[in-house]
Amino acid sequence: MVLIENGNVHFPKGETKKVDILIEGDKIVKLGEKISVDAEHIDASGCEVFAGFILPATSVGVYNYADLAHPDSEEKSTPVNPDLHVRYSLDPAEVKLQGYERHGVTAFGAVPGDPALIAGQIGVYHTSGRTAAEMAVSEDVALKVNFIPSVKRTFASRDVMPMTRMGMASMLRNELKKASLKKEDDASYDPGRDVLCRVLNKELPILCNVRERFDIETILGIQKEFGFKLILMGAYQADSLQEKLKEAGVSVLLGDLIDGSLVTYFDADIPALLKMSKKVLTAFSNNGSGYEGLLWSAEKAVRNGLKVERAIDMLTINTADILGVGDKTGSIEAGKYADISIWDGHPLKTYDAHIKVCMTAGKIWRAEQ
Amino acid sequence: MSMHIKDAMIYDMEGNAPFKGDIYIEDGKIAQIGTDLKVCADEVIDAAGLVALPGFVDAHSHLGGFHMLNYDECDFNEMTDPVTADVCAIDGCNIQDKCFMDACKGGVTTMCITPGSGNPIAGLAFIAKTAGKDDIHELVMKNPSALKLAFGMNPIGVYGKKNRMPMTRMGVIKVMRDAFHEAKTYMEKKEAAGGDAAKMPDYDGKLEAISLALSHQIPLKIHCEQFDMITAIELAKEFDCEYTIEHAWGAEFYLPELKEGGGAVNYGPVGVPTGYGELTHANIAEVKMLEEEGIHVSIMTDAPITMPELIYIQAGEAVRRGLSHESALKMITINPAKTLHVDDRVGSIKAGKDGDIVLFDGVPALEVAAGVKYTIVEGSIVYRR
Repeated sequence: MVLIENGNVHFPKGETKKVDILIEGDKIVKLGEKISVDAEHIDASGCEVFAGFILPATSVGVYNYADLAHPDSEEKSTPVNPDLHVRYSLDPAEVKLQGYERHGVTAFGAVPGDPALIAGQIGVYHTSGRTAAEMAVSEDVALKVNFIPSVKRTFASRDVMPMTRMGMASMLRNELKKASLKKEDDASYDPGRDVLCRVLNKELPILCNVRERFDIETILGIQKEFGFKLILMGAYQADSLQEKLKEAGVSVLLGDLIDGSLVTYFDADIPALLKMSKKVLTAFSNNGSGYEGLLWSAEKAVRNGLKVERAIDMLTINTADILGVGDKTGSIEAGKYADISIWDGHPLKTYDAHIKVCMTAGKIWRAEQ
Repeated sequence: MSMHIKDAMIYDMEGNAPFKGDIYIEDGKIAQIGTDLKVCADEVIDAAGLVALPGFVDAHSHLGGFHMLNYDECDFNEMTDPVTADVCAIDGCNIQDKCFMDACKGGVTTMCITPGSGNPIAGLAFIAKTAGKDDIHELVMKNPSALKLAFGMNPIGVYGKKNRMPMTRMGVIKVMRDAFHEAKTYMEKKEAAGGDAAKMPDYDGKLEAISLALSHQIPLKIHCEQFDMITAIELAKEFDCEYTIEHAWGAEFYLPELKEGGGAVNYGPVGVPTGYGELTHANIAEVKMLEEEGIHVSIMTDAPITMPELIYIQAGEAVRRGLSHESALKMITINPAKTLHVDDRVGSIKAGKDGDIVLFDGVPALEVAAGVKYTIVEGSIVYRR
C-alpha cells in the first residue's frame, strides 16, 4: 500500500481538499484526513496533487518510429477498415520512450492515423506498462473516422474512390447503411460490419477527425441520419456550430492549440472555442507531438483567459468522460485507478512548478533531482 | 515618430534586475530609459502592470517559405541538387504568409530565416524584422547572414530515394567536403588572377556562396543532431569557418566537443515525439547542461514547423526543467542576438538599440498566463491584443 500524505488534492470543478490518498495495487482505495496505516509514505506537504492528465488522441506509441517509412498507425491499403484495432500496433516501448511522466500524463487514447476514411478502433491505455493488455484502461472506446483532406489525397493518387468529399461522405453512408440492413439471424463472418452495427446501436461512438466547419457540417448530417454517438477531434472551427453540437450531444477533443499550421490557416478562434466548452463537453488534445504538447495546449487556453480549474478538468475528467472511461480514471476517487501527479506548484500557474511524482496505475515514477 | 512606454516593469536583458520605468523611442531607436521621463511623444502606452522585454530573437526559422497545409508551396527546399549554396531564402520568403502575424503574436521581432534542410549545402539565410513593412527586402537586417548546411536524415531521405549521393552520413560529409575544396581552389584561382579578368576562373555562383563562409564573411549554420554534431565541428575546423549548431538534439552527449569547438548552439524545437536515431533526445533540459558548460546557447522555434510563440513557451518549459528564469529569457533575447551578430541593434533594451519591445501582461517563461499585449517594432505597434 502507498499513502500520499498532506497534499493539496485537486478534484473536478476546482474543488481542493487537504486529504490523504491510500493506494493499494493499481487502485485508489480510500481518501480521508490523516489516514493512519502501515504503508509506503509519499510526503506531499506543500504540493499540488492532480488526477493524471489524459492525452485523448495520439498516434505516438502506434506509429513505429523505428521504421519511419512504414508507420504502423496508417493502414491505407483500403479506405474502409472498421475491424482494425489499434491494440495490435501499440508498442509499449515506444510509449515508454516518450517519458509522459514528466508532465503527469498517465493515460492516452491510441488512435490510428489519418489516411483512411474509416481508420480503425481506438483504445485508452496507461502510459506505462509491458503489454497493451497490461496498459489497457479500455479497449472498447470508439471507431476512428477521418473526414479530412488526407483521405482524398491518399486515394486520389491511386485513382480510386474517394478522391472527393462527396466520395468520402458517400462511402461512409454506404458502409453504415449496409450494416443497418444486417438481418438478425445473419451470423456470417463480417467483423467490419459487426463493428459498424455496434456504432449504429450506440454501443461504440465514432471519433471523427475534422478540421474546418465544412467537415463538421457534413459529419453532423450523417450523424443525424444514422443516430450514432459522435466525438469530434481537431475541430478548429467547432465554435461556429456549437448550438448544433450541443443539440446532437456531440463532445469535442480540441485540436492542438499550439500547432501553428492548423490554428493559423483555419483561423481558429481560441477564445470562442473556450467559450464553447461551457456548453459542449470539451477536452484538450494535441496532434501527435511529444510529452509536452498536451500541457502546452492547456497553457495556451489559460493565456486566452480560461480559468486554471476548468483547464485542469479539460485535461482529466472531461477527457475521461468523453472517452467513456470516467468510471476508471480522470479524477482522484476511491475505486478508480491510482493515476496521480504531484507537483511542488501549480503547473498551469507557474513554470516554476516541478513535478515530483507521477503515479500510473499505482506504479511510482519520481523526478530526478 | 516617437513613442513613450510608461510605467512598465522592464527586463532590459542588460544584466540589471527588473525595474519599473519608462522607455522612450524616437525615430525607431530607443532614445531614453528611466523613471518618469519628461518627454512629449506622438504615442503613449500606459504600461502600468505590464512587463517590457526586448522583442524576441528567433535564430532559426523558415517563416514564409513553408506553407504547412500545402507542401507544393514549399519554396525553401530546392532539392534538385545536393549543393545549392547560391539559393537565397529571401527569394522564397512570402511575407504575405499568415505565419508572419504569428511571429508578432508571439513577440518575435527578429528572425534568422533560412532555407530548409533537404540539401547538404542548402543555401543562404538572412536576418530580418518580422513586421513593420510590407516588403521583405525593407525588413532585412543582414543578407546573406549564413550558409545553411544540413546533416542527417533530411538530405539522406531526399537523395536516398533518388539513389543519388548522399544516401548515407558518409555521403553527406563527402558532398560537403568536396564542395568546400572546390570553393577553396576557386578562391585561390581568383586570388592568383590578381584582378586580371583573363586569368579569372569561370564564374560559379555556388562556389561564390561557399566562399563567403570560407572567407569568414558569414558563418555556417549547421542543421545537425546527435553524433552529426561531431562531424559538423570537424568540417568547420578543417576549413576554419565560424559555425553555429542548429537543433542540437542530444547535445548532452557531446558537451566537451561543443565547448572545444566554440560555436554557438541554437537549440530546438522541442515538443516532438521521441523516436529513434535523431528523434531520441529532443529534451529542453539540454539547454541547461549546455549553459553549465559555458556554451553560448539560444532557444529557437523552427517556425512555422512550430509556432513562433513557442519561443517563450519553450523558455518556460526549460524553467520547468530546472533552468533559471534569467537564463531562459537570455536564451530568447540577447543570446540569439549575439549569435546572429545583431546585438548592436536588438536583443536588449538599451539606449541606441532598435525600438523593438514586447509588452506582456505578466512575466513570460514564469507565469503561465502571461501573454503578449503589444509587439512593437522600431517604435511602431505591429500587434495589440
